Amino acid sequence: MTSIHLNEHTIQQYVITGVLAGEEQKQHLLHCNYCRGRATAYKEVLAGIEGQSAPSFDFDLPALVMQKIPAKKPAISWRAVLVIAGLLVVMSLVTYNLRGVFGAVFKGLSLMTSSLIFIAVISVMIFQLVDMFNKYHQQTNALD
Amino acid sequence: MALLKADSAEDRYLVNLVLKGDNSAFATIIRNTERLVAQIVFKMIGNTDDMKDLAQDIYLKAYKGLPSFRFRAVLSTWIAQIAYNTCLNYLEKKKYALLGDWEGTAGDDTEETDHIPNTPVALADKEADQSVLQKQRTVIIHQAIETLPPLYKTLITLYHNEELSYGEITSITGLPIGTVKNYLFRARKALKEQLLKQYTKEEL
Repeated sequence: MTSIHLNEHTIQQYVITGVLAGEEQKQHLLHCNYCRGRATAYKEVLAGIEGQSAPSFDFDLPALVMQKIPAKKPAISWRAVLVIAGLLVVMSLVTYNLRGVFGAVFKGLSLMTSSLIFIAVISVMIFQLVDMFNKYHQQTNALD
Repeated sequence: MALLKADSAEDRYLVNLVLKGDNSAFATIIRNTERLVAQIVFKMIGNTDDMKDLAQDIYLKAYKGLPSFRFRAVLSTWIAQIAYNTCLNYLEKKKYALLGDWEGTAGDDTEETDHIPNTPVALADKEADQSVLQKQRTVIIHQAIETLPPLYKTLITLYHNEELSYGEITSITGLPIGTVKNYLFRARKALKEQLLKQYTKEEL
């Protein structure tokens, strides 16, 4: 049996894993009151640590956090899609009913001129719609 | 390992739900990880008035960072990392030292035969009275833990109470594995010495 006391590291590892490196160390621990006392102290320390109750927040954390998280809007608003589709249907019906009037207006113009006017009007409308959509989003984000 | 896989499958499912806009899934994530975050916050900063704000801040950061979470770590470890860093920033702002006066001390693996000569032997004799000592021991250890620097308290809790591996603790704290082991060794040794001192006082 070795007369050299086990070092702190060996004793800690023994207490945590229950394993000692060699027979000499086992024999030493068996017969050395001093080292057994230190091992017992470490066992008490570990038992004390593990015996502690886990702390918990005394407030409803999920509820508090959820209040601060903005509700995500779906990527596509189906209501907006329905409104746009409805508007398109109404515009198509109006255009179809007034086709005679439009025909009279564009009668004197060449195909090229009519096409240019048509493209210009559609482009302006698209720009206006995109701008309106962006402003709407900015305002809703500002409200959030 | 099977448990880890099951956990990461659930994490993946919950994260995907949150990313699709289901915020209630994030409440589930909070409930699943709240215990670990509480352990870190309580050990790092203690029970202060700022705890409420800090805990919310941790989860708001996690929510904002969720789209960039790539499942390289377990979700709870990732959130614990955010908690640790948030507490670290708080301590820095308040000018609290993470290690106190402990930097570079108590690290040597020496025998302390000269310091407390008889107490360990006396303790060995007390082995049979475990149940009687249990309550007293828990109180003493709890008080002793409170005297440790925030980092030591946190490491002790993560390793012994939350049963995290060295690798997980390394991920959370960003400390090298050798440093984690060394700090844990020092913390346990300090706790043992305080326990022995307490017993010596009682014997006197």
